[in-house]
Amino acid sequence: MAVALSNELPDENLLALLTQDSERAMELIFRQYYIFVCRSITRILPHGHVAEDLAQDVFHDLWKKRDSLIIKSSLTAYLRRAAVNKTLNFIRDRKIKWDDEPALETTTNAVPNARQYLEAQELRELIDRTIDGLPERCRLVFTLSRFEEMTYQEIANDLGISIKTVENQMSKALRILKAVLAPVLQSS
Amino acid sequence: MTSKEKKGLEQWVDFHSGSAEESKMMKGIWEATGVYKSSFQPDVNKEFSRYKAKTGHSGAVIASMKPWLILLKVAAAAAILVFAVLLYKYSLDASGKMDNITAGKGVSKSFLLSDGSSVSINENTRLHFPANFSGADRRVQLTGEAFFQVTKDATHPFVVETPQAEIQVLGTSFNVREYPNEGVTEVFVKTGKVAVTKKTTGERHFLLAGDKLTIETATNAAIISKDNRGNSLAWKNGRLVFDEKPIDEILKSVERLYHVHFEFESKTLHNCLLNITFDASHMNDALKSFEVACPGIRIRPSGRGGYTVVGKCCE
Repeated sequence: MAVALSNELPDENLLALLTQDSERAMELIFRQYYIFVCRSITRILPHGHVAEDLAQDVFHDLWKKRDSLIIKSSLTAYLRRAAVNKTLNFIRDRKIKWDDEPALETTTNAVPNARQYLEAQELRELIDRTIDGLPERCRLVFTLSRFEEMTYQEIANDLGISIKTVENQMSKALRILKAVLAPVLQSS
Repeated sequence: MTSKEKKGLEQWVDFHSGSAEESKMMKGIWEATGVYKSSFQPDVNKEFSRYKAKTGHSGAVIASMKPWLILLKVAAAAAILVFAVLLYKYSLDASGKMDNITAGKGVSKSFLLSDGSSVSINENTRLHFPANFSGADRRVQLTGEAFFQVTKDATHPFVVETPQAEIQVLGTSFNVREYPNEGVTEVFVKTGKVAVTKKTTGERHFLLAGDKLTIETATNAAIISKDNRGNSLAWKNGRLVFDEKPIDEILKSVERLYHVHFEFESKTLHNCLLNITFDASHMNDALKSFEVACPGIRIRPSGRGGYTVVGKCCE
């Protein structure tokens, strides 16, 4: 199994390899994209363990489809889309409740100290905490827009809500993020 | 920023800002939030092993199917399907297929793995393993309790994975017990040397023959004690041996073996020391041996798997 893993291969090579030496290609793809897929999932559904399980399924699906796979865009885009679909399906199947109340009582408490968030790590934590603390539906809409290259219309279609609701949820998310981040952004 | 990301940000600006200053703020939020979840760092090696175990990856054989498939494409459509399915199934059997052996309540089973190692699993136990070991290590997954006698192969370490721990050996015999409801991982080494890694902390413990390691799942507290009599294997050997041990401790072993519970009528009784060897394959025999070793006591059922120990032993 000792394959040269340090050099990342471009998507096209990996895809070509997948049709010739599928096992080795699959390992390379897994190692190159696993964290990427996990992060895509956990931005939508912030539970590490679930994210890892769903990511496993994403790669397993790719493996099962390897002979009939047609990727129009890039492997990156394909895996991201697969991750988003898998996660949204999971949310739908489990009927995870969209609570419009904040998940955590955080957002505004963090503001007074915001000026002190100069360290990259602290800023990262502040952002994680703030986005995690958004009401569920609000967070979902925000992360799909920010990270998954989806338009408001696509988000509305995927979640089965109106575009107006998407706009409202986005406004809410941006308002909260603005309140938390303004001191940091203005000081820099 | 990719062109799609630019479009995303443009959307924010179009919908949610009315002034140049607000647009600048949108851009700031967009950039700052880019780090969201970037500290989430799964263990890729571990996850890849899990992926392999789950999918039964083994490559070479599956990959060599392709020329066959191309040839078959010219054959009749119905025949292709049937044959391809059979071929695929066969190739899986020959390579990366995973096997499961499960023992239900009151049952234990013994069997051989493809490398010649033998395994006995205790009741309520599941072992997940490759039908044929391939790859760098010989990895199996265990829930419950099992005794392994592993054939020596220094180049392919044998690894037992439980939900809480990883036990690595080169060639030896040892017992692993980790039932989900017990909250502890126990490893007993009969011969050879074993390394146990607690998954949550990464802490490593090295055990030699006769050592018994107990790790509490909740606290990660680890204790290494001696079990020179091999009582950890009573479930398999049907024999418990105690030298000068308090009745309390002895009955605890019986409790564990048969899922029963003992209560002492007298508070001093459980401190009595006993030398006793008994056949543990049937509980009633075990209890009789007790009454013989200590003629003053009687053990009476009190319902619901409970027993009361009455009388005197060493006073």
